[in-house]
Amino acid sequence: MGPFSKKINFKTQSHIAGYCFVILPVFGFIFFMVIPSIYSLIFAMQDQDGSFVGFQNFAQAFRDPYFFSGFGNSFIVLIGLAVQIVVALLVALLLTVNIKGQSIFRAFFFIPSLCSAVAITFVWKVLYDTNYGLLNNILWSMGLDGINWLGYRGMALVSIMIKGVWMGIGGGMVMYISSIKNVSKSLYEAAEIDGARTVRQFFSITLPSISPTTFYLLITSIIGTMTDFASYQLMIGNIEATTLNYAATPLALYIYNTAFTKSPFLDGNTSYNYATAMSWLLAIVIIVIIAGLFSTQKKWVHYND
Amino acid sequence: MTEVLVSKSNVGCPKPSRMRFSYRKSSKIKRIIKIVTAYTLLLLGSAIFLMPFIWMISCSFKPVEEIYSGSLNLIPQNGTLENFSYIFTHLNENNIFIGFLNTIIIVVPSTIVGTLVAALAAFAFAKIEFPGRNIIFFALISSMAIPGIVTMIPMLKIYNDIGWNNTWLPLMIPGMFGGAGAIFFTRQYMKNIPHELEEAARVDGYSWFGIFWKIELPLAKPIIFSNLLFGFLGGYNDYVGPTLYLSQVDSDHWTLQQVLQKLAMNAGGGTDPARMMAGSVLALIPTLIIFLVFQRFFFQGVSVNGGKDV
Repeated sequence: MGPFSKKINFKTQSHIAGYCFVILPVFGFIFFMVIPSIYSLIFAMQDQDGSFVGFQNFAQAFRDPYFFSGFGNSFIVLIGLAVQIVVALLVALLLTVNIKGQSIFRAFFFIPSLCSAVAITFVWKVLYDTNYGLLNNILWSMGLDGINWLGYRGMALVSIMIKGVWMGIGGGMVMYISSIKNVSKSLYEAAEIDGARTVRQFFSITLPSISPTTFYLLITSIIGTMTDFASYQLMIGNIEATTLNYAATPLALYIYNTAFTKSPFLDGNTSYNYATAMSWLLAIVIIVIIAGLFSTQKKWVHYND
Repeated sequence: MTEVLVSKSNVGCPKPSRMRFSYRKSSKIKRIIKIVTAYTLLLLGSAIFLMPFIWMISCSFKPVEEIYSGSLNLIPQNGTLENFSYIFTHLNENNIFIGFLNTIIIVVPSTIVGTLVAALAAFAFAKIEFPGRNIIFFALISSMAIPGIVTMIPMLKIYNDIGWNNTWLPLMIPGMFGGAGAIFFTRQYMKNIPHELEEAARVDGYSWFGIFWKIELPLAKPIIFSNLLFGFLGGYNDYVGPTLYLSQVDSDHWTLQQVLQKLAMNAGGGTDPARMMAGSVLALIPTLIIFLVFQRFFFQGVSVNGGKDV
């Protein structure tokens, strides 16, 4: 055993170690992503009896008005996302100013993220109630008219967005705080010497330095928001068929309804096959959006490694 | 909005040209203004932000009639513990303690195993050279882009075929394979740990696993803790999983969120806002305690950009 064979030994040993260490996530990826995705494609091309129908389910989506309104709603809700990311950044900036009581304020802003979707939705439903809700009672006490918060499409979407922003700020804030703290101090010192003002410093140092976080938040929250059905179901599940007539239902919830409860387009029946076909259409749109964002990445996202 | 905020903290500050002459003094004034502005905005922001949360606590101590009356009182007029005592005395219908216990049994092992598996993989991706490393890494990360809704229905069918439906396994097992997000952040963190450390350890005769276990894992403690905490929080508050996979289990096997939901829905066909709020408050207590105890771990580690002053 000369030094040469020992070197090869180490290399092989590293390869074996490398593969062994990543094998479980790879298995997880195969079992819980690849295989179900293949199944999902097969389902999407079958009818209820399991016979192959090609792209019929996909074509059906393009004749389904609920599919299009669902898509529209999913996109509208993304507006809330932009607000959420901007507010999260503002809060994070305030919370990285060196002041006393910082950790208490951090806790305040993070508390909504500790609650479950179930609890949060209960609370907001009580706030939004047209008769006894806090918000309307505040409006009434100021002599204003109450608002039918969940009563019709436009308002219901706004109400859902407000709740989403409230719930989502904590997570974005946490990520922004740790990345703002990671911005190199020497950059600010140099700027200070150059006489750059706070505004300049923010736009030419802070914002570019934390752009990877913005990018990450943008992508994960677009996926999260567009595929979320649970919080919508908890919020408007009991009124979407009656009061709202499915007008405010985002696509993800419509897919869930089609698979598990009832689809207004299928005369109240459910269909796993049609639902999976629609979920692929949603996935394709999301992937296109993400790919689009990645192509803009070079222009505004700055990694320092 | 951003411009408004930042320039506000500049109000009254001398122009940059004058700053050179009275640099110290002006920077002190600047600092005071900055602090005052920060406090004002933070107090205002957290007041608005905490309002729903405070209202939840307030309502949990109100008799349901007081909620229905639309009273704006923050301090309940006829404060009562009845909502809580109802929950504690109707345990045979909706046992919030069993729900809590079930949730812990489901979430804790899954989170710990999943975090360690993810950390081990992240270590390999960050430190070990092996063929196909980057391809495997990007395949795993790209799985984050495939929305869960695509795999949801087939997973339900697969679980049904292998007899996992209406057991806890679908909520426990997938998480144990290590999430892509956790791998990503841990790798990011470990890349900033100096290479010299593992080289020195190798000279001392450590195996790769030894290096991971004895050196990298302890050094990566912040990100590991943050993964554990966020993993626990996600599992504890999960509503989708139980809805899909535990739809037909008996109430002894419900998770906390299921109990919470049933608690609200049972009351006379409709909903009982007072009991809902009381249940929500109870469910929040454990996560609030965990957050307050481990607060500092929540705010470190999860950074996408590189390390400090490298």
